[in-house]
Amino acid sequence: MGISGSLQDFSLPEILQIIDNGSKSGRLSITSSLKGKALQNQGTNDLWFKNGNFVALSNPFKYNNLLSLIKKENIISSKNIVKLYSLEREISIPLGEYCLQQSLLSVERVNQLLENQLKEVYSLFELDDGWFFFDDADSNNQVSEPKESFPLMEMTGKKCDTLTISLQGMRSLSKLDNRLTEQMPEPNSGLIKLEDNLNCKLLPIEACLWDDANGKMSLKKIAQKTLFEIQDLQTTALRLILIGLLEEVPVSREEPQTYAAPSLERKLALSSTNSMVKTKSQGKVSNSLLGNLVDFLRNNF
Amino acid sequence: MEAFNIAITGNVGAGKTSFIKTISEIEVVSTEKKASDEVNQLKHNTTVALDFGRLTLNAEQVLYLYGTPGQNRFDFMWEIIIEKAHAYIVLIDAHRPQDFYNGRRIFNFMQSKVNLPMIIGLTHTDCEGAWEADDVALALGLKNRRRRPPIITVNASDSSSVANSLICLLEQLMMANV
Repeated sequence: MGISGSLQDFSLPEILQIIDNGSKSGRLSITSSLKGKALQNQGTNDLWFKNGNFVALSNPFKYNNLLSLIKKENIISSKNIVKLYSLEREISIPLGEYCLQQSLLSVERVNQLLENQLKEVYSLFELDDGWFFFDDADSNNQVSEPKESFPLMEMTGKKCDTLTISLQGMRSLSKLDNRLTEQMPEPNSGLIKLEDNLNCKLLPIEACLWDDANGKMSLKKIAQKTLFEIQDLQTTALRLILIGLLEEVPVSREEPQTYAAPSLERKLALSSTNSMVKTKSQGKVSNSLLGNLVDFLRNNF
Repeated sequence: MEAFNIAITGNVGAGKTSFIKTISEIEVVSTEKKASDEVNQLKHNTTVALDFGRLTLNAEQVLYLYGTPGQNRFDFMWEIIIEKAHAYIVLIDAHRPQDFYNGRRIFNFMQSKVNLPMIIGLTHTDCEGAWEADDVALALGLKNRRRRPPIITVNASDSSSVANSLICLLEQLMMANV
């Protein structure tokens, strides 16, 4: 099974969020349309994920892309490059890992290769038109169309968590397209956190928003407090909203609190253990009413 | 008269008005007007304030259903309606992934305002391009399958389907009340 659609309807950070949230494994194919503005990304790029982490980038039109990158670095002898090319059918571990085992590349060089792959992934965030298809891998780590295993020749053996990719990709985006800017949070809106903890490093402006994401302080107030321009705060907030770290909410009328609000998932867990159902204006509901209502619905519809 | 209030919320076109019309014993009091801008591409009329329906159980007890406006921007009516509710249902149109982001926003807004039993109702699941419930849940930011609210399929035009979704919501409440 998989998900597919148009990048105009569902953006790359939204797709990555699903892969991250679901700790999914498989291949995400991104195909740009001819109308797409990022010409360097024409065609299809396949991003490979294992348990929600990015592990490889492959492209049917750039065969042996990782080897080409290694070759370009000029750090391995021609003889060894030829040997690496001949490995294709017999390799059983990622190419980067193989190079490490054979002492052909240092750990730093392999990390650099992953960085180079990631730069190509970041450029895909510029695509404003095209199609995506996420093909879930089965228990044998194979995707279905065509039946294919993870591309060991395109794998460094290193991984990068998807949230970090989304964050970096959104930061590198030169311009937000119209669909995204329509979602721009308003200066009078506040923010809430959608995650309890962060495993990635934030920029100062992002950290300011994160720290004040308690639903009580408006972006306008944050701008006054931090001296960041309101437009910069809005744009940065939008980027963090789109990758699923924050959510825009109307500012609560209550006084600001000094503690961080619990995440929504935690609230859901709390609500399921809440023994008394009540709202601000409504009292407790009697069990007689609930029971009668269930009986009424069962008997009349 | 003891009243039980359920809020029905969700995106434009997710089926909130139909849901209430399908089960209400009275003509639904609707504040629909001709839709403008992009909403018009989905439907001719849209709810601007609220929809209201009723089901009388007996001389002492009644169910009120309140439908929120589905606009993309925050609406003051969302807060008014949710603060009166005892429980709520978020309707998500499974075949419009472009609306999931807004669905997430409505869901998170409600969660930030109240701590009430709720369920997610997936509509249009029989339409081409409809997403699986698990993937919709992930798009809404619900990662943990065991800790997420119940997600059920709803046909907003079918009275037994609507009734089943209400029963599912009430069961949530009864579990919380135990």
